[in-house]
Amino acid sequence: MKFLFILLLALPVWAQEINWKDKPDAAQLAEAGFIYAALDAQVRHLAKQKDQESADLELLEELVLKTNVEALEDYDRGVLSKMHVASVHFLLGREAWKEKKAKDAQKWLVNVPRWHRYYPEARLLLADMAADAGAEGEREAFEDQCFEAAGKRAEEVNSPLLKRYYTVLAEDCITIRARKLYKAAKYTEAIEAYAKINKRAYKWPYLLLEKAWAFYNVQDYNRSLGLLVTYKSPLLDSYFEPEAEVLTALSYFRLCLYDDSLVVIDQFYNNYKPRTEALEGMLNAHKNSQTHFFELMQLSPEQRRQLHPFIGQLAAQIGQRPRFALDQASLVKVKAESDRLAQVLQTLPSNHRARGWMKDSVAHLGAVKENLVGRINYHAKKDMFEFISDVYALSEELFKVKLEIISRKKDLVYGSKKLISDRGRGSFKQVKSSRFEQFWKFHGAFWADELGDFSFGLANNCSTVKKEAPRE
Amino acid sequence: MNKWTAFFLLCSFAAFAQEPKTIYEYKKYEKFDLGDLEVKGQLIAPGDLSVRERDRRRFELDLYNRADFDPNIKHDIQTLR
Repeated sequence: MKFLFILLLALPVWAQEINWKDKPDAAQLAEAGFIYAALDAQVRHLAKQKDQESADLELLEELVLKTNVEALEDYDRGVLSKMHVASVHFLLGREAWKEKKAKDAQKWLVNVPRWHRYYPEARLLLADMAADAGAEGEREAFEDQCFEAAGKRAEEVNSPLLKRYYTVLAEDCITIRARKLYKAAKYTEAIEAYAKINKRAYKWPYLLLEKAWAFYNVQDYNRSLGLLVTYKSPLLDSYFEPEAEVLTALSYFRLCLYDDSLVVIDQFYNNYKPRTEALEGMLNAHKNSQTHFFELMQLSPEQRRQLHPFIGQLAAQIGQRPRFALDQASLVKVKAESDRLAQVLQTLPSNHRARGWMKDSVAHLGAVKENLVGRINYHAKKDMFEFISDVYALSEELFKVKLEIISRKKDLVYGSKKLISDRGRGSFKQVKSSRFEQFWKFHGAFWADELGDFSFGLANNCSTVKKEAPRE
Repeated sequence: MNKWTAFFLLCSFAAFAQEPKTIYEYKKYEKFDLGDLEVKGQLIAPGDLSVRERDRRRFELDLYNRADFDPNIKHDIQTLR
């Protein structure tokens, strides 16, 4: 209400600042607070110029930083490539990276200067490409630059949205190192790199699974199971990872605890099959909708809870991502600007000369708004479809584990053998630990400070003994 | 030689060419006394049969293992903005 009051008071001020008879230039529009309309005017103005003036380019940069670089996504890349502005270079570099044109991407991204808002993200993209090219030294340098710059910006900015963006970015920069070490099969080093990521990090719950894979590959199945059990904590209720179930079943399988593994597999099928079918039904019913998933993302947490569990939880996960928050914030800004401009338009007489360009601007803002809605809708839909596809792929992998268990059980029967213990249970002796770690017994409660530090203590059950013939 | 002499000679050759019909008869039954047979030579084969034991070949399924997290890296960057 207070905001609306200020807005109404401000209306006549805009009218005074803009010469309504002629089409205002970008600077005038920006001064009056119409930043999206100003950005459009400035891009069109620069596209016509042969020699672009530095003042014009500076204004473009300023506007892009206010609107976010996504506002330029709809413009022709050929036109944009002639505008030598760091934000535009970043956008072109990122688009080339998406298309896997590494050379083009590097050409644009190295131009983003250290002081620039998009510098840390540009360095992250460069680190990713350096890793793909096998240039380890370069990758490390880019990661360090990204981490340092993003961490510093996260402390400096006041906007919670930007603070979150930089924090997640800094986390991404250090995560890439652990992931590349994992890929190089340097699992112990990867575990150390994962351990450096703070438990309070936004990404930390997702990284538990990756760390568990690293432990699995060094054959510390107890630690792997311990990390995966963290997902059962009520605090991580909304983080559900079907792959965690697969890794749990595999870890039990490697310890030759076949019955435990089969229980996990059955639970997976019982839990995921009906839910995935429900989600698939919903997705297929709305797959051509341009707004359904956008509307889903606009629901409050209470409203989401009333939906199907998978749908609500997936929507909650998507809502936590910086991209969604940035798109949502941009949408609010565009909508407000469009409404304000439409309001001014209504106050003008029907024969006023400014009506023409204002109508054009309102139409342009409508297109930007529609584009943002479509973007949110598309990403939510894509993430949900990917989730279903993952569940089906993982279900196939679990079926293979089940077959292998059946085969091994059959071998035991044919060989008149049995596992050393039908059901080996844990003990502290089985827990591998460093001298910095202490262990406490689990009494059915997940303490927040203990999350991510659990370990099982199961004995390996893979030794076999001859089965005694039944006494007659 | 007149025609009659030639005819007479031809007829006499034809009479000599006809041989008596031979009938082969095979033995209908022959008895072998295997116990009475004797083979002379040196026995070089092992006296008993032996089979070398080997494990049954097991075909283990290629179970799932994460090779890398490259798709996660791409996904994280794409969800940044």
